[in-house]
Amino acid sequence: MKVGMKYIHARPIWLRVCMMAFCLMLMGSVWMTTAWAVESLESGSAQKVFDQASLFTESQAEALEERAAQIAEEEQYDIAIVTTNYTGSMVTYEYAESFYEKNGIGYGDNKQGFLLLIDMDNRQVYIDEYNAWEENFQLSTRERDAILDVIMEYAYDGDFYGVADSFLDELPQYLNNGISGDADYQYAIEHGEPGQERSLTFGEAVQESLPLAALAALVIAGITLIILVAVQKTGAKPSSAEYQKGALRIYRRNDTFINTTVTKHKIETSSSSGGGGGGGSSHHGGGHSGGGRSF
Amino acid sequence: MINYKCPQCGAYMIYNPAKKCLICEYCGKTEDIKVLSAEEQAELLQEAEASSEVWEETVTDETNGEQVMMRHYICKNCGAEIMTDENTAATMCGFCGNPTLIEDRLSGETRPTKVIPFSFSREEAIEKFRAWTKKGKLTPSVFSSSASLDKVTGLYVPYWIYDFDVDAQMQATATRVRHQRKGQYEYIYTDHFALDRGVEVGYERIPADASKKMPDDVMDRLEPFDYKEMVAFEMPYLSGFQADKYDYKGEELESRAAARASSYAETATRNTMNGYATVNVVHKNIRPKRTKMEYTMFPAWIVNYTYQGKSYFVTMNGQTGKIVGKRPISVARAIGWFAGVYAGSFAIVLLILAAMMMG
Repeated sequence: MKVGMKYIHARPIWLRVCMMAFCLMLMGSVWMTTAWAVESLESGSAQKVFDQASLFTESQAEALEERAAQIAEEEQYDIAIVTTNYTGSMVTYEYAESFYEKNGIGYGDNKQGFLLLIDMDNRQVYIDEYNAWEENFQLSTRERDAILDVIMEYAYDGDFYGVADSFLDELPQYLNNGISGDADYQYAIEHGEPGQERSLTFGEAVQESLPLAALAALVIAGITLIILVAVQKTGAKPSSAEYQKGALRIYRRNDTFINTTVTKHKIETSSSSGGGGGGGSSHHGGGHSGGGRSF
Repeated sequence: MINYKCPQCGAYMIYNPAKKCLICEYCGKTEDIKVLSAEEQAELLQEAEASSEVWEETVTDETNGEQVMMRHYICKNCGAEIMTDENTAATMCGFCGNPTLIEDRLSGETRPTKVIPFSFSREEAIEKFRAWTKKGKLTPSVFSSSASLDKVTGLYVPYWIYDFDVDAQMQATATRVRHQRKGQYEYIYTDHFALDRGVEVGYERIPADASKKMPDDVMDRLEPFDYKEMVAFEMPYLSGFQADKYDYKGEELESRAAARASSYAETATRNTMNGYATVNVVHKNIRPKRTKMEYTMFPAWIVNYTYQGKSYFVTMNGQTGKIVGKRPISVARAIGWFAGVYAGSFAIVLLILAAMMMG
């Protein structure tokens, strides 16, 4: 008796391609988290525009200076528009926070205010806020995103005056000094529910869910297929328990403590989000909060 | 060359898995192998006069080019030629089904000490195979109906079974991690430990198939066999089946079984190092010591079939019915399932996500 035949075993190429695509999709998944923390600290700084990178013409700088000073006076929070070519060893948000503190920016006892940084070194636009346990002076992540959505359009075109100008247009819409609820009210008119995700229409919700649903479905279908393919083959290897005779006899069991090593790190919540038109980041702590995007 | 003859009618007797005894297919007389004394067994034996009816020839195996000694016998029952290779210990006349045992390959050092008899008949084996061809969501619908059975062979496969006492020594470094928050900072404390283990563990009856022609991987997957039904070897169990004597001596296969025992012991020892965040084994010394070795025969059904013009085979555990084999995959079915599950889960996930977004 000769058993010279073979099993059906070759895994078809299309299946391998499917599996590979599935793995790539998994790795490509994007993780988004946001968090914020606020904390606080007299009159606004005399200068509003710090055009260190010379991105504005003289007349533009003057116009911005005038508008910023006007808004700061009316709204009772300071505004600084900073441009730089060099941030040194600092990353964008660190530079913004440091600039805010070193240049005496901030309105009133709380030193509340906003700083728009156009960082040509790291090619980022960053909005830093300092204040603000008062809700009126607080931008929600979504509000900040809404401002960034508008002003980044100018940044992508290289129109930095546009960035600063539109920032001065947008910011007061979200923050209305002293009159609690107004900012939210304004926001609600334009975007829906205040301070949280506005309710979307069903169509919009479906549209926003599409990529994630596609990914999830791919994962589910992929796993299903892998299981189904595995089931085609029968005959699993036996476990060691089949052959073990009696219990394990442990005649030596030493667990000796050697030493302890310590590492420490500052607690901070940072996150990054990607996709679409570029990266963004938000950083919080030490009374500053903010967020920015690359261009 | 021998076979068993019915004391009542003189017809041949074969082993019946359902009745667990030797049975005369003609008159139905049964003989219980376990209670049969050696003398009674000998009485049932019918010996063929060897000399003139046996001749040998050397042929070349087409698959591996090896020289194989074939021995030819004349069936005492019908006069047809029974061809055996150098390892055949039991076979049947291909023409009349006359069961034939080759005594000299089942005696002396080639006599197994234990045997696990077949527990179900050829018909049941075919039924189990048919049921198997119907399962699997990706199995082509025509597989079950168009896979034609060529040959279903009940084969006693030679196995060596080994007992091992394993001494395992293992040293490792391990860590445990604690977190503590102090103001703005989080402190991570990592405690380092040195672990030392000495473990003794026994394994019994680890099988290793001693047949050259059966693939080791397939035979390993055929396990486990239920040793509760393992009995002292008697030749009548082989009557009506094929059997091969071992190709490898027990000592030759010991390392294979020892490797399994060592691997089991290593895992068991590693599992005693629990309660740590990380464990890194730095040194191990695993020594298996063989305490017992037995020559046995375990039952397997080899089902040869043809599907879409090609020949395949699956191996079935002759005691438990476990099948080692692979059903063909229908590409159309695989695509269908993938697309179906994708579409279904996409719709459901989309609705759930959209509902969540709308609050």
